[in-house]
Amino acid sequence: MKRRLFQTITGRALDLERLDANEREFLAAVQRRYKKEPRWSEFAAWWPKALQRSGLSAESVAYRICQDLEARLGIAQGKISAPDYRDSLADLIDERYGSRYRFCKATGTDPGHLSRILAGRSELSLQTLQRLLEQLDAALVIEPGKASTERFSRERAVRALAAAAR
Amino acid sequence: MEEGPRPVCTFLIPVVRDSDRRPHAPVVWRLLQDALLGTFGALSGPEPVLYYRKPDAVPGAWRPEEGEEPVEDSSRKYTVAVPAHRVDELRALLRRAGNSFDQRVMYLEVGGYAEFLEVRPEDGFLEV
Repeated sequence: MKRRLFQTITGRALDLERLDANEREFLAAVQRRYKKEPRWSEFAAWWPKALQRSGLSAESVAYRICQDLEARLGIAQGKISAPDYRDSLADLIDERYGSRYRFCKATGTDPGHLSRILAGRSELSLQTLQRLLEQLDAALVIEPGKASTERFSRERAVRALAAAAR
Repeated sequence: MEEGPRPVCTFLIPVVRDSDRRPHAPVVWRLLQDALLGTFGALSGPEPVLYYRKPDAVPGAWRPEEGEEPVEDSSRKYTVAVPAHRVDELRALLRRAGNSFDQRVMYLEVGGYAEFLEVRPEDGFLEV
């Protein structure tokens, strides 16, 4: 049987199989709200309060899903840039190492340089990027623009949310 | 919950970068929210606001001077009540946010008093 996953704009797969009843109920409410195409900041102001009212915390997968949904709205409404390699890199570091500090310590990466890159204040050479990706057990993939646009679309998130709420 | 006075602090995050006027990457908004939550336990959402500003680091000259064109920016306004003895932590967090959001000055109000936080490279960045 196909495992139910929510894929973030950076391609991170969030497991929807372990959602408890409270999380499912909360995500169903999020789905109803999200389908109405709220404004970016309106949704951003709403969901943290709704999350707290539901008794959920940032430890819940629902927190990451809502952050992702907010980003998709911002992208669709021209308020946020489309994600690039920096977003994926930050997400991979978070997922595999938990913090930039631990990643830099384990891999000998200059933390200041990495911070400037993640903030868009500096660029990575392709060689350095490949080295970092190897350390993160990831690979550089070139894909058509349409495929990446589809991955971070609002519609795709709506479909994933419907699966989560079931 | 910590006891004592908790001044209401309000700060603005412009939705575009100072250097190239482009919108921010998704990751920086996520890092800001994680930092606010991790530092103060605050999970408040923002409100959209419009304001005029002069993005140079000139305290007291937020509005454009005579003969200068105003810069109209959409911003997100965040409000958090922080224990008085931790307001400096908020200032430090906002300076890091300033570097991550490519801002030269950050606008903060503490208990109704406006502050203009000059952002320096050595202040660091929001971290994963």
